[in-house]
Amino acid sequence: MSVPDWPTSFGSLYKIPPMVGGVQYEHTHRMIAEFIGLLIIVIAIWTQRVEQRRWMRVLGWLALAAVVGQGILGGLTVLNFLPWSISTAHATLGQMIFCIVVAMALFTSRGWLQDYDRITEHDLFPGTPALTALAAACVWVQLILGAAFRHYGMKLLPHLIGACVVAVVLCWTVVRVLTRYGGVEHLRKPAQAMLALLMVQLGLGFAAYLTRLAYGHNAVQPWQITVVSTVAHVSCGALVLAVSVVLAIQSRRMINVHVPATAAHTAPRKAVTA
Amino acid sequence: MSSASQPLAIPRVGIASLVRDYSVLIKARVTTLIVMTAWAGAYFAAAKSGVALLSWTLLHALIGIGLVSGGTAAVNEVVERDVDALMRRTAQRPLVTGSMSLLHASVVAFGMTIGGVLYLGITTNWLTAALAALTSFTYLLIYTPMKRVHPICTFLGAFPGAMPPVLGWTAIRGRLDAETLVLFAILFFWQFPHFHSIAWLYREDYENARIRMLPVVESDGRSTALAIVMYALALVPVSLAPTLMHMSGWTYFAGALLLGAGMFWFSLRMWTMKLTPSAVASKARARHVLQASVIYLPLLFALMMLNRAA
Repeated sequence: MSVPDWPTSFGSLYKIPPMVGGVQYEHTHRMIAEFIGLLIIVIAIWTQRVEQRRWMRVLGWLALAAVVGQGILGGLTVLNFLPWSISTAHATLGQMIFCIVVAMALFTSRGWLQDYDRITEHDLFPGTPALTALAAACVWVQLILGAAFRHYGMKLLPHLIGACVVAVVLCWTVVRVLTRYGGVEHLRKPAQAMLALLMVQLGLGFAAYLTRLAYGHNAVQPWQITVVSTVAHVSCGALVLAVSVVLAIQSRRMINVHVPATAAHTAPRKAVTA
Repeated sequence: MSSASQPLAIPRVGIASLVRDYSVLIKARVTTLIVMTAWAGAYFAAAKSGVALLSWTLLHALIGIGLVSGGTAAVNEVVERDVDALMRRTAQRPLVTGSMSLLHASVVAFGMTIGGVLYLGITTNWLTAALAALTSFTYLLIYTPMKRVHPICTFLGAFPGAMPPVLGWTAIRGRLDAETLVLFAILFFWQFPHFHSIAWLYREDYENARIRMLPVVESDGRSTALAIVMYALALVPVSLAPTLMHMSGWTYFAGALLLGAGMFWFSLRMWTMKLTPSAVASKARARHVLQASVIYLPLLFALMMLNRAA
C-alpha cells in the first residue's frame, strides 16, 4: 500500500506528494477517480435537466450514487489495509459504473432514438436475448473472480475455469448473433467487437500470467511489464463487459421472442420506439 | 514436476531442427489435412456464390484456419506434455525431449490460436472467426480433458474435428447453408474408423498414459470393431449426399460409392477377425483401416471438387 491514509494523501487533500515508486500509481489513480466523479456529477445534473425519460434521470443519479459508493469502498480498503473482499468489491463496482455510463451513452445515441423494426424469434433455446444476458453475466462473474485473484482472495484456478466458460459462451453468442442477425447492424457490430476483444483479452491474460506468476512471482517490486500487462488485461476486461452489456441491451430491445400461444402467460409486449 | 522441465535429450540447435520442432508442435500433417478440407468447403462456397475459385479471401481463409488449427494442436501438446512422455508415439515431441522450452511453445501456441482467430475476423468475416474460436475451445476444453475420463471423448471430439470445411464455406459465403451440414457430416462419420483404428494400434500406449479410448476400456475390442464398421457403413449414404444436393455430379456418386465400399470392406474385416486389440495379428487389420481412411478422405474430396455440378 503506497499511500496509507484516506481521503487525504499523506495528510493533504490538495498537495501532490512526491511521485515515486507505487505512490505515482496510487495518487494518479485517486486524481483520475476524482475527475471521473466530477464528470459523473455533471452527467447526473445535466440528465436531470434535459432528459425527458424518467428512467434515464434515475440512471444518472444511480451512476452518481455508484461512484460515491466506489469512493467509499476505495477509502475503506485503504483504511483496512487492503482486505481482499473490499478490494474486489471496489474493482467490480468500478467496472459496473463504466457499464452504466456506456449504457447511458447508448440510450442517448442517435441509433437508439431512431425508429426500428422489431424482429420476432421462433424456436430457439435459449432465446437470443437470454443468451446475450447470460454472456454478460458470465463476463461479470469472471471479472469478480479475476479481481479476487488479483487481491489474493482466491487462487488462479476459479479464474481459469471462468475464462474457459466465458470463452465458450461468448463464442456461442457471437455465432448465434452472426448467423441469425448478421444483417442487423446494431447486433452485428457489438458481436464482432466482443469476439475481437475476447481474443485480445485471452492474449493479455496469458501475458499477465507469464509476467506475474510464471516468471515474476519472486520480484521484490512488480516489473513494469507485469503492471502494464495486468492493467491492460483489466482494462480489456472492462471493455468486454461493456460490449457484452451493449449486446444484451440491443438484443432485448430488438428481438421479440415468440412464445407459443398455449404456453403464453402474458400478453406480448408492445414495440418500444423511445 | 512436469516432464517438460526435465530434458531427456541434448537440446538441438539450428534452423533445420527448429523447423522440425515447429512442424511437430503444430502437427503439420494434420494441419495440412485440415486446411485441405477447409479448401474443399471454400471451393463449393465459391462455386455456389459464382465467384472466383481462387481468390485472396480464399488465401486469407486458409492461412487463418491453418493458424488456428496449428495453434490449437500446439496448445494441446503444451497441455498434454506429461502424457506425451508416457507414449512411444509421442515421446519424441519437442516438449518431451526438451528441444523446445515450455515458454517458447506456449507463446507460439497461444499466439497462433488467438492471432489466427483475429486474422480470420479481419480478413474474411467474424462468423468464420467465431466458429474457428468455438472449434478450438471445444477441442481444448471438452475433447482434451475428456480423453482421460470416458471413451465418449471420440464422439465429442468429432464435432470440432468436422468443422474445417464449414469454416472454409463460411469464409467465402459469410453464412451457414444446408451444404455445410453435408460436408460436416462426411468428416464427422469419417473420424470414427480413423481414430478408433489409431486407438486400436496404440492401445498399449494409451493404456500406459491412462487415456480412456474405447479399445483401452473395452479390452475385447468388440465395441471398437462394431463402432468402426457401423460408422463406415453410415459414411456410405452420407458421402452420396453431395450429388443428391446438386453439389457434385454422378461420376462423384459412383466414385464415392466405390470408395465407401472399400472403406466398409476394410472395416468389416476388422469386425470379422474376432481378435482383441492386444493380439499382434489384429494390428495389421487396424493399420489397413487407418491407411484406407487416410486414402479415402483426400480422394473423396478431390473427386467431389473435380466433378462439381455445373
